Amino acid sequence: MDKRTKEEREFAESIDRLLTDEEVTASEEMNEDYRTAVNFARKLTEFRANPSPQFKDQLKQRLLLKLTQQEVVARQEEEAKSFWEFLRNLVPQNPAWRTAVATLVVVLVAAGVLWRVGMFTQAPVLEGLGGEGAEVRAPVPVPALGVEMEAALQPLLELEAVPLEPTVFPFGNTVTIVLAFKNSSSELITVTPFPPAAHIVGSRTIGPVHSFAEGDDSLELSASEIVSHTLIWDQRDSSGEQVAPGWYNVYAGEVTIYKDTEPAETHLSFGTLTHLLIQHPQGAMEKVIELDLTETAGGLSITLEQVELHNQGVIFSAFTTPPDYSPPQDSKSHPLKGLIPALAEYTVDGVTIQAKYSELMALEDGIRMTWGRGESYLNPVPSDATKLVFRIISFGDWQGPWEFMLPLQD
Amino acid sequence: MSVVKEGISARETFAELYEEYLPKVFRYIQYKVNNMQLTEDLTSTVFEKALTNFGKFSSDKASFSTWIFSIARNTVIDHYRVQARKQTISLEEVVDVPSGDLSPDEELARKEELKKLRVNLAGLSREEQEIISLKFWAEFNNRQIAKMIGLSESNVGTKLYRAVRKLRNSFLESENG
Repeated sequence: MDKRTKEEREFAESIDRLLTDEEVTASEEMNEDYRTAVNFARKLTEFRANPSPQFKDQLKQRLLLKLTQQEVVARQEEEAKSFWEFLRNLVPQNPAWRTAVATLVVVLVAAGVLWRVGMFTQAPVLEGLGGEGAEVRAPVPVPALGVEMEAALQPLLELEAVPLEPTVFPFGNTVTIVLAFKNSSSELITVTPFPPAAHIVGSRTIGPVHSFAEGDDSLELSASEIVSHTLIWDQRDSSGEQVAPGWYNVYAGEVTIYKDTEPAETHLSFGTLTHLLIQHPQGAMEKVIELDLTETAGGLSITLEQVELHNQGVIFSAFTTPPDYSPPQDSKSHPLKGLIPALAEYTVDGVTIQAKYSELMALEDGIRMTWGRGESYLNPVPSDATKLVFRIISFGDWQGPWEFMLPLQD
Repeated sequence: MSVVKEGISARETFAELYEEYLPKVFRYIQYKVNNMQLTEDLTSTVFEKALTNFGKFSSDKASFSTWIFSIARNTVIDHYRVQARKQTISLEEVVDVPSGDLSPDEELARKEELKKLRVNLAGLSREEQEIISLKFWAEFNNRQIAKMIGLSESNVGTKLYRAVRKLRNSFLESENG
């Protein structure tokens, strides 16, 4: 083994020991360069930060809940399968008996429906009415969970927003968002503050355009109970101006959950609850433009191939064959490995919107870049727009711009 | 072969793996995005994805460490592709570093050092940065790193040694300059 190989091997072993907090001293035959490298590696290990215990516990709690839910779903599917097999065995082979059984099933189903709509029993009482800040409380049956699962379920609050799916709202119309708070635990919890703050943030801007202040109250939720809270937004920003058309995300502020058992206090924050699109007052342009526009910058040619304009956004597709490109063969030599996606923006009649980074797809003869697919939600183009400029700023280590001008009106 | 050991429930297995890998994944992502909130969000995403696909994971095809770090790497790449927040790599937003019993002055000096370290790390090649992050933040041995990035173990050793010395030199130069 030569000296350099020996140094490299000892160096790797030293780092592995440093990472397990062992003391490391360089052997005497090693030179100063090696020693200072080990000392610097020691310094690097000191910069390691750890997740906070609170984050670690909350995530663990959430994952265990998810695991339990997966198990419940799997068990229900198994039970449903058994139930239908049981029913199949019950149905007689004789046609007359089959008719009689089918009639009986129809009668039972109809009776069940009538019972559910409240003709045989009194409907659950809803506390409160709809409207801004209104709270609706509905009793929810506690799911029959096994002892093991019951124990595994940690107290947790789930928050969902309706509409759950991305939804288009006409310009200037009132936006109604219902937040549903569900106590997923098997004990009483208190949620503070209630309602929590909520924020509407433009998907292409920084900072909220409108915030709903948190309330002064607390909310008590019994096991599995769901309480809804309605937010009504008039599409105006904090200074009272109508917000621009485009995509907006809804977030909720942090809450603290109190309960009798340990941990008695849990802080909970939520991610994006839902996405809203405020449509252009004149509507969105809807057409697919097939193109073959090629621009070259920094030695790289990029072709804009297609622009899809639809009422929920715009999708750009471009293609390039970088110098020395070879198609994907295995993960070791994949052409997208370590490649920074293309950064772009687009300008519609003088207003520039960030398209940000593309998705990339490696093909036989080059790389396809797309912006606006999936959940990247690029704002739609208004129906009366006249000029669209799409600009790719950089791609990998290449610097542009590659600029494409598109007249929009025929 | 499933990852779940005989006589141990999926819940226990996952909980064990969570305890072992959460700090590693967290530190790796923290190094990549340099923002505590975002690190927590992306770490959560990684483990949620892992949990969703846990039943499909086969230890015959890859070790759990390789599998979870491929999820972590893809999650970070997806984040840059889809969310593409320009402010994610911010040298100003230096995250908490373990301060131990440091005085406020010492803590400030430590944060300055970390800032310098990040600037100098950015001067390394992407491959060198990846090797350093997998070694020091994710705490993998050279064999595991070799499998992840498609190099031989000895090649990883060579590149690691070279990258640390390169980083040391640029760090010292910036301290003296």
